[in-house]
Amino acid sequence: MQKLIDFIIRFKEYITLIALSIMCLSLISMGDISRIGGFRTFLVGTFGWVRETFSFIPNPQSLKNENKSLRELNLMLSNEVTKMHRAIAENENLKDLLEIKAQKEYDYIPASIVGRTTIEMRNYFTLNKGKSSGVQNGMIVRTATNIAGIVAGATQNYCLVESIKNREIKIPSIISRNAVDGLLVWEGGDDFYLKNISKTFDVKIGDDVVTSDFSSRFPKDLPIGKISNINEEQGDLFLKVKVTPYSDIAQVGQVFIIKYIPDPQREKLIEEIDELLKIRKNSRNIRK
Amino acid sequence: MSDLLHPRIDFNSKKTRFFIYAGVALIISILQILILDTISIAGLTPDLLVILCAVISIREGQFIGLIAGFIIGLFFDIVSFDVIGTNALAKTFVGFFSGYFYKEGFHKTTFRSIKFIAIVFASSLVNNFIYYLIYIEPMELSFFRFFIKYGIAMAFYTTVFSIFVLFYNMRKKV
Repeated sequence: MQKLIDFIIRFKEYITLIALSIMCLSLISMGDISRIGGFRTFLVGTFGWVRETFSFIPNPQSLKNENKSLRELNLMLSNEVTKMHRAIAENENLKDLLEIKAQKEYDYIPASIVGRTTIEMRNYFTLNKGKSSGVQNGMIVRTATNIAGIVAGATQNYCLVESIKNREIKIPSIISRNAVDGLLVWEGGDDFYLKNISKTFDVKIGDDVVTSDFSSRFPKDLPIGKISNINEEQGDLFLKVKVTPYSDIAQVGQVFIIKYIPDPQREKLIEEIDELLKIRKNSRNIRK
Repeated sequence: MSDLLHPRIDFNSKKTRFFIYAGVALIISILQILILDTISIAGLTPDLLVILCAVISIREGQFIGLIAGFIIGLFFDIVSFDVIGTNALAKTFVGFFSGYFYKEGFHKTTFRSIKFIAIVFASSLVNNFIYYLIYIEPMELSFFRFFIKYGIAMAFYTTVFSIFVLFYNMRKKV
């Protein structure tokens, strides 16, 4: 017994390290950002309040960037409006001819960004709208030009949004010109990558990328960005397609929360299959 | 009477020091969440908690350092909406690693030398290595490419802030 005590005292650092590591790994396997509740929900509200209280302190660089983005957007939109008027009229005629039902439009909740947080490459921002305005977990947030994030937690008056610049993001997307579909992922930095695009597909720099209807979390046809680079790697069947968002969320102050909640049945089914695949993968690893 | 008006803080008492560490950890965690993103470069922010964990380990030793790292990391995971356990694990290893540079009674010498900067840089690499190992797991990315691109850059950025600790201790010497 004395030997055991001596052993523990002698190697207490190593024993503690192993014990704490096991504890951490167990917590990691249980933890998930989507499980924000209790204390964390209280923190969202508190930090949101603190940030809004001090939001009177101007950030000249941010205002300058936002002004620049808005001027560029204004110019682009004024050109688009002319084209749109003609397209709408033409579209109406064609719809009448084909008897297509009008596409479902979503309701938007306008909100201001009252705080941004970058922690270990995880990007979050706090909005000044919460449950009292109808915000719910899982709702999509967009800027005037493109998709921005997903609501991860909400209190009465604030909500915390996890940016789409996030390691877990996988958005089924299509190239709007020819409906070629792929999976949008983020690998760090300012841009995204469209995966699973075969070398034989017609992909051009400047093509617009939007969300597809394969997505369970995102409504379809939400703009994401433009293709800015296409890379063909030898020995790879797929192209490496870089997608640059139209505007950077870091430069805007106003966003819209889309009142769209994914179909819970579809979500549940995907979660169940995901869980099943994880179990299979783990059991295969154990067998190896 | 003068003691009542100007209470002296006894830094030699372990209990007092632990209260100070807890207070500093709380302040740094809040700063890290509320303010530090304003100085982010390419989405990277310095990790001031790594410096704190290294300081505690060098001052108090490996055992206390690794426990402090775990508690600080766990607290930060909770307040920063990160996956619980990730920072706790990374900071535990930071405490353990920095503890190798503990020399009883010689901590002041370490804090006043370039060695301290090197320890913070190496500790930051350890922290980023473990953190990104977990962080990158769901991504189809090469860990080493990601670590070289972001882990080393972030370690450098964190190290820059450790210079303030060095200057503070050098000033005290003067």
